Amino acid sequence: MSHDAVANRPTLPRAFVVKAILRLVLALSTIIMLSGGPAPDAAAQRLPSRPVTPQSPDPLAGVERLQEWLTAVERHEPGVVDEPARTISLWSRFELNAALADLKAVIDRASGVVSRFERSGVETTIKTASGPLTLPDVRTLLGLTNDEIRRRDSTRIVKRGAMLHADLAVFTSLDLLVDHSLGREILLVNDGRRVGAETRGYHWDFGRMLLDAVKPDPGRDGFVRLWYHAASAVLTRQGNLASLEPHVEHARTMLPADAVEQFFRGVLHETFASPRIQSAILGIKSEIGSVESESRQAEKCFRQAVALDPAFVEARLRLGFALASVDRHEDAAAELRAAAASAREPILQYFASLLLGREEQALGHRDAARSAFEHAASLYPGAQSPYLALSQLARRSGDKAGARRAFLPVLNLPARESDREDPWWDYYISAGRHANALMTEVGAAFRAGVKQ
Amino acid sequence: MNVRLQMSVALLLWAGTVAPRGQTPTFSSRVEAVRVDVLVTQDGRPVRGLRQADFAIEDNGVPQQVDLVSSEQLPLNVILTLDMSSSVAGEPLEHLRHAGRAVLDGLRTGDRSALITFSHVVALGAPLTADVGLVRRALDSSEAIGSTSLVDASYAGMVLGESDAGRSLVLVFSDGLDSASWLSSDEVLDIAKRSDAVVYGVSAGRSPKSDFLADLSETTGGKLFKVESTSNLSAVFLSVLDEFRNRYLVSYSPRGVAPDGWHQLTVRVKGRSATVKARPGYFAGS
Repeated sequence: MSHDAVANRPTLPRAFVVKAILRLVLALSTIIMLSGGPAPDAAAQRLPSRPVTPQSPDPLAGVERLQEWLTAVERHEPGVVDEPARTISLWSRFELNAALADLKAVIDRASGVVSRFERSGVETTIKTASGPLTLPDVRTLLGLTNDEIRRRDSTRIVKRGAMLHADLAVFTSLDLLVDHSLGREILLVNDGRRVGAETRGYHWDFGRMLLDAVKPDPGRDGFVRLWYHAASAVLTRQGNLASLEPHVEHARTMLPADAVEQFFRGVLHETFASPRIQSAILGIKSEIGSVESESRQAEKCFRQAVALDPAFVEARLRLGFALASVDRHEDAAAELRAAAASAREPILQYFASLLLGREEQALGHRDAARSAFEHAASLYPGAQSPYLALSQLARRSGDKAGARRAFLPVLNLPARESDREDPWWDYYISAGRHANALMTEVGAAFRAGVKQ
Repeated sequence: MNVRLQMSVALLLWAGTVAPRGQTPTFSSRVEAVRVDVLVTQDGRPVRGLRQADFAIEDNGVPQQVDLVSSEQLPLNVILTLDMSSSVAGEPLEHLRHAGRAVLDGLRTGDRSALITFSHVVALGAPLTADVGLVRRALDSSEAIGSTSLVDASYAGMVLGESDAGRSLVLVFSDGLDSASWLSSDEVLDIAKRSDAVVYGVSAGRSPKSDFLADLSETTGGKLFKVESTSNLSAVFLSVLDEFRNRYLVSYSPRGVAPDGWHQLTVRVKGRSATVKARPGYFAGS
């Protein structure tokens, strides 16, 4: 992932919808936050789910289902909402899990068939409820070579599958990706208040399950790493914290020394500490900690990200913000000064200047604070936050006239929301601003056959 | 907060404007005055007709000589600071517009008003003006969209309220919790201790509320009204206006206290078991 400048930054949505998963059994909750998604009542427009009965444990009961999934995976064009994607979008989690189990079973048994054939020259078959499968049948079904089958290496299939399910997660709105099978609910929260309930999508989960089967080592596979980065960025940009949380937790195992995934874990906790989430969980039992505890978690993650990649400007910037959140102003200012000095993207320069100004003010460095706020204002003249910062700086030092002067630009900004821009409003989701570019990159890497 | 005012031309003009009819206040030049906006009630009703000699003020425990008491004849600056985030959309927005119009209709000659609307965007609907029509038109054209910058907007209301030497009521309405402000509640509460503006908060809805609006109202000597529904918002807004009009503006020149730092204020009414509501203190020199 490019840590800094990307020329075509995607436009970020402004409206926030927050979702909280209530783990009903444990009477605990966690949260996801969505932005720019459908209104909560859009759930009424949900595509009908196929009625499904949990499958028999017999993995070879239905090769037709596996064949249908494999066909969709093979025909799907990455980045395109095509017919295969539409077909699989109707499948439930049970059906997908069953197809994956079938895949593993077929490969396992076919591997034995290949070995026996290579040892003895005798070709045996695999018994299924749909009839016997010969080795050529299996090769046709899976699109794998004898060698891949013998090594139980389904890498080509699972990577294609992960692309399909990533596209499904991106292109299908969350309200279409419901799963009522888990007994889990999500609280929809908008503008700091709870407005409804939903359930969580599962295509990212399924994509991760597929990629666990990449050989020889998914943790060392370039495509897998890119896929994880793209998923984290998409989920962050959507504010989909309920799906981001298991994703970054799985990434800890899969990519333990990956700065980008540490960064996104930090963003998750930083967002949990934010007013918009803390407001939403007032009065309910929640797995989400206090501002202090979540900020400390965020600090750990960002610190690890910076240790893994000292040139990771945005991780350093957000480390500074996390430190500021627990009143460690000296440490915060040091990180923010470093971030401000090395940031190239205007949005990162803006955040660094704005946050640094607050820390300089907390340290009693009024001139440095004013200079930082003025720099932020110069980067985004239509943003209200730097002017508010400059005004309060003057006002708190007793300069009432100066406070009024500094505030005047806010009053002169356009009144309409659509005519205004302040990156601060998107601070928490802006870490995912490269999501589109990353998804394109994953598609390109897939097409190029990148494996390492 | 402009609790200390240099006896400059501006203050002399203000004093000339606000002096009770038939009474000419006298101030010695270059003395810093402290203004305290005071609500006096007995059995829940405002007490009217109090005079200078009826008030007792202690500044950091030191009794002070009350120089001037003014009351309802003072013109008001009413800063409507109204939540226009998405949660207000629909019927609550109509209630809110209606309530705002009720306040504007309740203004008298000499009063001025302004409109600040906020979602995540803090916007000036209408500047401080005697033209009620201008504010009404701005109110009618406002939309409800986006998240909530309650803290930023409250600060904006106070700044606008401070832009004139008259008595300023900042009426802040919100139905939610802050989710998008840049300024922190601590920063704005600190500034509230330096401001002469009085904030009355109106908080609607049943969801748990943060303490910010309550703290802001308390710090400025105002009051927080909590309503479950917006259906009767006009009556609440009008009661705020009525109560504010019945407050007293008490002024004194501090003696025997430090010229800076936090000053604890105690305001009493002599010889009555009245309830007195005023800001709890002020930051001198700011």
